[in-house]
Amino acid sequence: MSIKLLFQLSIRNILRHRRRNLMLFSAIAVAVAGVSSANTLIRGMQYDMLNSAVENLTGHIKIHAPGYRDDPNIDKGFSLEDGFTLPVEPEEMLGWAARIRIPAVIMSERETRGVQIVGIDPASEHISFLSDVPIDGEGLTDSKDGRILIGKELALQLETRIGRRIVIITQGIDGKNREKGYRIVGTYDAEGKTLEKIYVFTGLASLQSLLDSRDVTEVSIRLHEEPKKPSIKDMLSEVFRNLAVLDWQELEPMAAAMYLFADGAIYIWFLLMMSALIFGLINTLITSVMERVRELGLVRALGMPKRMVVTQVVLESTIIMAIGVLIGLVAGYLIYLSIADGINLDAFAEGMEMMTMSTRFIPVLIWDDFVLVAVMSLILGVMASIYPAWRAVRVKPLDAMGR
Amino acid sequence: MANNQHIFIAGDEAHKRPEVDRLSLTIVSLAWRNLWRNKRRTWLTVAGVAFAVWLLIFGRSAQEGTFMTMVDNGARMMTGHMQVQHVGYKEDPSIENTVNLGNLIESIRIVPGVDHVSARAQGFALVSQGERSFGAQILGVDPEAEGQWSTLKGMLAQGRYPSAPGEAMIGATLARNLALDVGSEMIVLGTALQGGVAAMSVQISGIFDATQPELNRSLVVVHLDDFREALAMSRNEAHTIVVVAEDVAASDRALEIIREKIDPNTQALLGWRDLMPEVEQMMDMKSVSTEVIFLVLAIIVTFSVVNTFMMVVFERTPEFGVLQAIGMQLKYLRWQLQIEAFMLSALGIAVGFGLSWALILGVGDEGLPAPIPEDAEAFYARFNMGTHIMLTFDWQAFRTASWVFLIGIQLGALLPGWRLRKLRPVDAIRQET
Repeated sequence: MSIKLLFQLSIRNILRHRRRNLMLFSAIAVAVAGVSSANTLIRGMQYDMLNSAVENLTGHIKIHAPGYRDDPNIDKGFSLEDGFTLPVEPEEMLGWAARIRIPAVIMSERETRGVQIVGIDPASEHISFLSDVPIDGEGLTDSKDGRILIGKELALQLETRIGRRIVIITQGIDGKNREKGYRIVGTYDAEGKTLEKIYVFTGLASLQSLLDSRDVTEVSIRLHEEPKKPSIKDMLSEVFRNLAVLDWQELEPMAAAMYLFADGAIYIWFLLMMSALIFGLINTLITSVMERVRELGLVRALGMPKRMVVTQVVLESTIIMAIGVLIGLVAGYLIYLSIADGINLDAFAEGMEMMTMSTRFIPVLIWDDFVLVAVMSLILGVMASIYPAWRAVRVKPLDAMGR
Repeated sequence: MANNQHIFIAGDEAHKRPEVDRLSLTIVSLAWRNLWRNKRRTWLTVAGVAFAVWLLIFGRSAQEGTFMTMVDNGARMMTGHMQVQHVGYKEDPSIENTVNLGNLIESIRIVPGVDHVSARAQGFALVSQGERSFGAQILGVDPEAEGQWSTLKGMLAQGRYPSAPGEAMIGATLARNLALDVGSEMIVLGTALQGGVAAMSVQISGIFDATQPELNRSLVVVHLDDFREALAMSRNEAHTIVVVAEDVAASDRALEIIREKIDPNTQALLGWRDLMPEVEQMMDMKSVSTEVIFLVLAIIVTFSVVNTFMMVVFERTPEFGVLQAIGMQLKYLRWQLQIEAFMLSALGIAVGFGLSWALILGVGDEGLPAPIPEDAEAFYARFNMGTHIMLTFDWQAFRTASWVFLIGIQLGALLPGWRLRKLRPVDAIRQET
């Protein structure tokens, strides 16, 4: 007896109870559609966390002087020779930026706050959030720009506005305080208020001259894709032996933990939905076997080996599962398409910010996840058929036909 | 067959009251017996419903437990469960927006459920040692009162909690940045109430290493008296009155009582929802996702139950044919199916309830160990989550789950019942099982 025959038998058995199996397909399809579309949301969340983490001046990889993270000051900086280029293939990265980032005190006429002053070359900041956010007033023009760009929220707190002056106090290379008045050139409106409160920007060269240093405190590198990161990081560690080469997971452990959680969430969600489903599946398979006791007795009497009987039940379960999964995946994909433009989560802005996420939520479809759901479902289908198959094998030909 | 006999008589003379009661009784007992004709199938179906009910109750309980722990830990670290502030302070936390204490502290302390009450003053200032200066948040506290509940005290890495005027406690990162050790002097420079210069010199008595990086980087805790003196505040003035309750639920109860005691024109009462808006939003967000899970689960389970009923009806077609042939009306057959469906869902809900209750009792006051992945301790700490999840039975989730499954399954059972309309006794009796 060939597998083809078994296949035919299974298909016919399923077709015998179209309406009943239709319910089962629907249940499986709802579960699979729910799981697969939820996966796109979870992946979206994950990508968003990665992006937010990477965009917040971190980049995929960052180079610091050793000791800078414990004591972020200009004396923990390092120098880049003139015309320095990063030894990474240009097509592998979005770009890189050298910056000074040190703590400072900012004072308006009315209020005082603690911030981080960041000296940047605006031309290379297309790799950070600064290039995406709306700016009121003007942005910085170049590295020599001696004006200051601050966050909208900080401007509110300082009770100041564009065009007014503020004073920055920070520590120079000799450990002594520097004080300088700046004119506010513009305010930026980042997605979260935290960024707006922490970072103020000025030109890198101008900040260097204030601090009497030619050093920078960090080089941040933004790649095109995360998977290339480990090899590039290793390469950079070889080149910059005296510096600390860190990736965003090391710099933003919170976001990294969240990222890992999302991986786990996909499995948990699948397990829960499928567990709820499996009772119905087993139930149907058993009924389907018990209904056929006489038939099974007959085919056994005619010489069908036990393993064929088992195979038939397993096949039946797998086919039911496969059809349900197929419908479910298509439905899941359609759900994904309908929300592909993103979901607005402004109402939860602060909560999202706490989880280092942006308020516009865009689902991300990864085909591997769909494949994973399909494969796990089929395995589950086989598992669900174990008990019914065992029942089917236990049928004694004589008893069955005598009924 | 004895039962069928009953129905024949009853169905025929349904217009007589006592007979109708006997009929309904018969239908109920028929439904019950039918349920147990196939024990395995019934238990599997019940198990499906029970699992879903259990999952929802457990999920909600764990979620509630996690959030309540977050709120409680957050409250005991910094904000307290409630605060009384100047009405404008939340919008504009400037040092001029002070509250007049009067006898508020004493009157709040006697509110049931309130554990600790104390005044605080806070503001932003420049802290420096030698040539180095940093901006920092200065918190003036009553160390004797706050030392009793503040978990910050337990996070001391070096030294001890300040106890007398002139002493201060600072975050580990700030201490490192300023190159300060226990025993060092530190200068605090800020703006005083009338716009003058506020200055104080304090000695570091302790350095804390909190789980929140912001606190380590920017928090300085000083004695309230020092703060008031430096800023020229009177002894009757403070920026916040911090209230710590026995737990989150107690703070919700106490909130309304305390609200009666404050002057709404000049004072504002903030509950933990106002103090930790991000936690509340996370809770709301989680609730939305829970509802989606709920919906999908409900659909899956209802479909499975309907499926079971389809099989039931198919199997019993010959019987139904006989019943109809001897005069049982279709509506009674449908009723019987509905009653069976009700029994199924009621059983499922009861078992699910029992399982959840058993789990929550079993876990007890210890709480369920949280599944903390490697390297994620920092993450848990950041969100003020504990290492154990406290479970409290969530009646709301139980009620919702019960209603959803009861109604869903009842509606689901209408479908096979509707199919009976096509039943023709002669064909039905002939159908082979």
